[in-house]
Amino acid sequence: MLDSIPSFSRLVAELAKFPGIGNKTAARLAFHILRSQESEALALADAICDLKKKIRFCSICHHITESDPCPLCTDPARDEQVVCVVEEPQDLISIERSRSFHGRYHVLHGALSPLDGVGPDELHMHDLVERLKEGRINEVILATNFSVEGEATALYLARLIKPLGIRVTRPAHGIPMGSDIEYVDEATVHRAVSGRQEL
Amino acid sequence: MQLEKLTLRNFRNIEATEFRPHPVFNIFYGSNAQGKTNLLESIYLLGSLKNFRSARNDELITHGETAATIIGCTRQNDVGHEIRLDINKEGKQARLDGKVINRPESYLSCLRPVVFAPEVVGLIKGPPAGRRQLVDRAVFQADAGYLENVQTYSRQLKQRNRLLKTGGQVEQVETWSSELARTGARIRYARAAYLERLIPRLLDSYRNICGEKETISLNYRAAGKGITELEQELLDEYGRQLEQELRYQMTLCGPHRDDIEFMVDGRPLRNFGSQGQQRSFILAFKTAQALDLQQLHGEPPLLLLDDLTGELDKRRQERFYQFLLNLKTQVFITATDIRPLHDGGIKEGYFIRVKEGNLHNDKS
Ligand SMILES: [Zn+2]
Repeated sequence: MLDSIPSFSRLVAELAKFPGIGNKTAARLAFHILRSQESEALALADAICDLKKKIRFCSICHHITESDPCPLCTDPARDEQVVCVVEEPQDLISIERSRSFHGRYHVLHGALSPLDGVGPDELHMHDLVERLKEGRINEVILATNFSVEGEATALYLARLIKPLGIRVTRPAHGIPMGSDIEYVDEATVHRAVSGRQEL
Repeated sequence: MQLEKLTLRNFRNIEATEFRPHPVFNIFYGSNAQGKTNLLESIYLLGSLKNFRSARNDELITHGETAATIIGCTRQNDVGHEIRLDINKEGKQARLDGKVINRPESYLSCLRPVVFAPEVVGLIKGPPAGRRQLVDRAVFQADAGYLENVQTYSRQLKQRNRLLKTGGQVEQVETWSSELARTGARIRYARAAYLERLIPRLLDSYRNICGEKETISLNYRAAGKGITELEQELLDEYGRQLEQELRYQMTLCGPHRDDIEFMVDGRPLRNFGSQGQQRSFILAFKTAQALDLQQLHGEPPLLLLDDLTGELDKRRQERFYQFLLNLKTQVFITATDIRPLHDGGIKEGYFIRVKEGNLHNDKS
């Protein structure tokens, strides 16, 4: 049916690529855009282009940023002796929202998962080690998810980092097994990051 | 545990049926291939989310239909629930009181069925996987945390096997070995703890319900060991096997390859037991499991008994019926002939004739 309206089916196809969005929802969103004012539709398109043009990844911590290095890496008020390692930018944002941590970050962009073809080379692991070798950091908090892959990633990193003589810890309590930090409430993240365990 | 109502739609040869079971005895009888066992299978699948005989999803759906549904109204310690399982060719979806479940524990606690089917007896002479499954399913029902450990372990195992297959570096393999050892130790510990608790009951059932004289037991490598000890043991195993594993590109040791030995008078039952002893052993295992669940949850589990008459001689049957009459739990039995049940004292209950997927209730 939609094939006879190419411009509409093109938008539906694009929207259906989003995570958690199937064809039905994509069609609903497309109808919503169709019914909205042209200025609104343009504002959406512009916001998407603007994001793609301006947002980059910080060359130090790999968080998303408009300026490189990012504000988190350049803020002199933040403790540069502690670095918190997370899987995804969303995890960093959750920890920031909980206001439980005032050091620096390092975003891996994933976790070890042979089933998905992700090994150490596919993650920002080597430059984490380079950062640590510079000598200013004396504690690493491994805040990867409490999933099978997140746990293995934490263990792999711990074994990589410990020979450098740096303290390695992992949030210990509060986050239920198998959960993503991104989806856990702020109070729980706060408890987890402040009550960490030595590895 | 009580199943107060069972509704089936397009399940195997049963197109549509609604059935309010008797609180104690429900006997499905009739000729073979009419759908008696399908009824037991639907209850087991609904209650445990597992098949008791291997089946693909499309085999569970009536020929020519696209989906099957099983709905049960359950009552446990006076709390009622509705559990529902929808099956289509792609998969299964379970709902508890209308909501899709994300943690299975509360769903699985609604029925906790224990099944005795002729196929099970074959486990004793078969490969270790069958005996492992028998024990694992019993542990699942008794230990709420076990399922999570098993799921974690199987994911870790898949990751490690893929790594071995793709020639991953040793440091990475060792990371997954440590993860696997941590979870694997918990699995072995839980199995050993369960068996230790079960063995006295097992022996008691074997002698008093099955009327046998020998001493029976279950041997498992992890018996009597602590979690830390088991974790170290597993780490050592993985360490010793690493070279082999890199060559064969798969994980060669761990709880997923363990065996549980069934022993009679100190000798392996698989080599020395008679057919009758083997049947008694399995029946004793199931009754011990039921009694253990009764003690744990304050109520005996639902029992599903598929064609006992073919498996047990008259003497064993009568002792077993006596046990059922005393246990006072809800039981679903299939039989080609109901006379042996009558003779064994089972007179009160629903006797349901099953013919071509339809239920004919002649109340007694
Ligand atoms: Zn940065």
